Amino acid sequence: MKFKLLFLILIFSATGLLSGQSVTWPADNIIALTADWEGERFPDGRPKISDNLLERLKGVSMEEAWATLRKNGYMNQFENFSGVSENSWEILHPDQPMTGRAVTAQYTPARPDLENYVQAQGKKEKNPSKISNYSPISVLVEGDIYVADGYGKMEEGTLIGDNLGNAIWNASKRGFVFNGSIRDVEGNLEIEGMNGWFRGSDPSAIKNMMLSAINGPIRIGRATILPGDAVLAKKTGVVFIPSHLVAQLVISGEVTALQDEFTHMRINDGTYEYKDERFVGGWSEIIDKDFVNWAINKSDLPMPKSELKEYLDAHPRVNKGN
Amino acid sequence: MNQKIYLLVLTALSFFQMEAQQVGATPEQVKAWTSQWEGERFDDGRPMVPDLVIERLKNATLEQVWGYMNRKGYRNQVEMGWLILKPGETMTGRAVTTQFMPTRPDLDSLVRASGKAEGRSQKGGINIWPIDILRSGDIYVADGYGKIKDGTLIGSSLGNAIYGKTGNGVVFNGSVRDMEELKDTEGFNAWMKGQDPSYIKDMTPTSINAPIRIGSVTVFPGDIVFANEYGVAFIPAHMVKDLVSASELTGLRDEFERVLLQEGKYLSGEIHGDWSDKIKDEYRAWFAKYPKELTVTKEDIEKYLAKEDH
Repeated sequence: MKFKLLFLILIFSATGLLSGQSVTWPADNIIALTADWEGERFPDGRPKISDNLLERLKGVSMEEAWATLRKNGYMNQFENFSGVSENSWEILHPDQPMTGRAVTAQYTPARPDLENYVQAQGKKEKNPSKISNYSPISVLVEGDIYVADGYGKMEEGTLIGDNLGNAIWNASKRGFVFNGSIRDVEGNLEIEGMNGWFRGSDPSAIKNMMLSAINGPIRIGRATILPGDAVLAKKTGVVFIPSHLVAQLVISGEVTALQDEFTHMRINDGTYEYKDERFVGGWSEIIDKDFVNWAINKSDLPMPKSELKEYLDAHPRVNKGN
Repeated sequence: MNQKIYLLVLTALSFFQMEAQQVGATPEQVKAWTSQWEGERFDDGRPMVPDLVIERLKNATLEQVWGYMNRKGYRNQVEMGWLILKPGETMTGRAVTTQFMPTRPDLDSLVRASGKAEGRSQKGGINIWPIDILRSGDIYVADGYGKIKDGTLIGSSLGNAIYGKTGNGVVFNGSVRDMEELKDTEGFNAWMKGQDPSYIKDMTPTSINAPIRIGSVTVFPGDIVFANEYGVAFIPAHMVKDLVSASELTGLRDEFERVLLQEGKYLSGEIHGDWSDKIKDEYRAWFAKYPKELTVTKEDIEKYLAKEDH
């Protein structure tokens, strides 16, 4: 393990990654950034979280996602831009959750010397066209979500209109998460299937800002995002999940949801006495047996039955309480 | 087998390790970003703008600085809305930049390992890494993404360390603690977004001496900082000398016009409009006896008078 880390550091050394000389970050650097991921990867280096897990992730509650991340030491992965309301994201279709793999983009206030550098560097990296707010969209593949830091700029900070909205949808079949604004909200609402989380809208066109990096680490409010993070976007906010934690987060979220459903059912049918927010005598062997039996015979399980059994065996629940 | 391959690659890559870094930008990277600077550079790659120019910049106004950059197409170089430790003082110097981000264990462990490989301090918090590399005339500029509580990038001890190394202070899109004690460090000044008694928590310095964003401005390592009680400007190194000369010329003309107005020898239209040869001669004589050190030379004055048609 130590050896692996040393190896990765040397890759960093060779490419100077964290200080960001590239426009599009090379695969080697993305691999180093996401070294905890052990599965397949895309050619651009990003972890290939399975489509199935991403689909199941939609059913995980924000609280469950938050809890698993916290348990693993990830305290800064959720953002809702809460001010006076619980959620300050504007959302195209608030009732439709969205999950996918992050492609990240960093925008910054324009300055001519940096613009020159970025365009020259973009050519060196063999970009087919000028670096612009289309460049991140041009690298999207199906299952991706375009995540951009437009540093909350509203007027002249519109990262897409409805043309680029269509381009995002066609490439990703998902949508976008912007700490920034969009234009043509009405046109974007008409793109069936696409969803988007953003800070606001403005009729102006993008100006005085420039793209400085694709697939590097970015910040969206309180959260740090790495390329290939799983995005879980809901009405209540957006959470960015490190790829290596997704499988664990999904199954533990699903099992907790099952336990909640079972508990509600047994409170309502009065099988066990319930007092002070717990079953009298705690989560006993009898209750647990009842739960396991109920769960594995459920017809609409989100996960394969074998995965559930394995998880239940590995995670004992019996707690007599006090 | 795997280990053997690693070893081979390690040997191959160790050539690069000598020069290249990860948290800190390499001199080559800094040169690439600031390629329009043609003069000398520090060994970290930052432009070595002369001390006299940086000192003379203090006499400019924020409007002069803004106007000059705006005319050159740099329209996003001034940031407003600061809490200032000692308002009323003007601070100028060379930027050392640092990017902070919300901590996440995977990125944080990589930064720590990289910093160790770069030979950075292993004692105390890693937020002191940028302070370790400061030199005389620098200003420590950091993006703490506006975090105030648990976002205090320095307290009074680090403030004193910064002053000791730079003779200057800091510009933070973030906060400090010990503001009361920091006020006692004479010569030190700070432009920040807030102050809080809490200590820094959950923040990782992800890059040193790379471009960062301070509010509405993109800041380069080696930019020249101009900070006064009205705002902070970040001036690309390659345009500072001409900016200072231009603002000196404007300032000199304003000063000279006031002298003429008080003497009452000329009509104010003659003074504010195109100058006659007679006034130009008076100006030459006045400039020749100017008591303070300037970056503007006699030649600059002649060039100015030759195309003068204000």
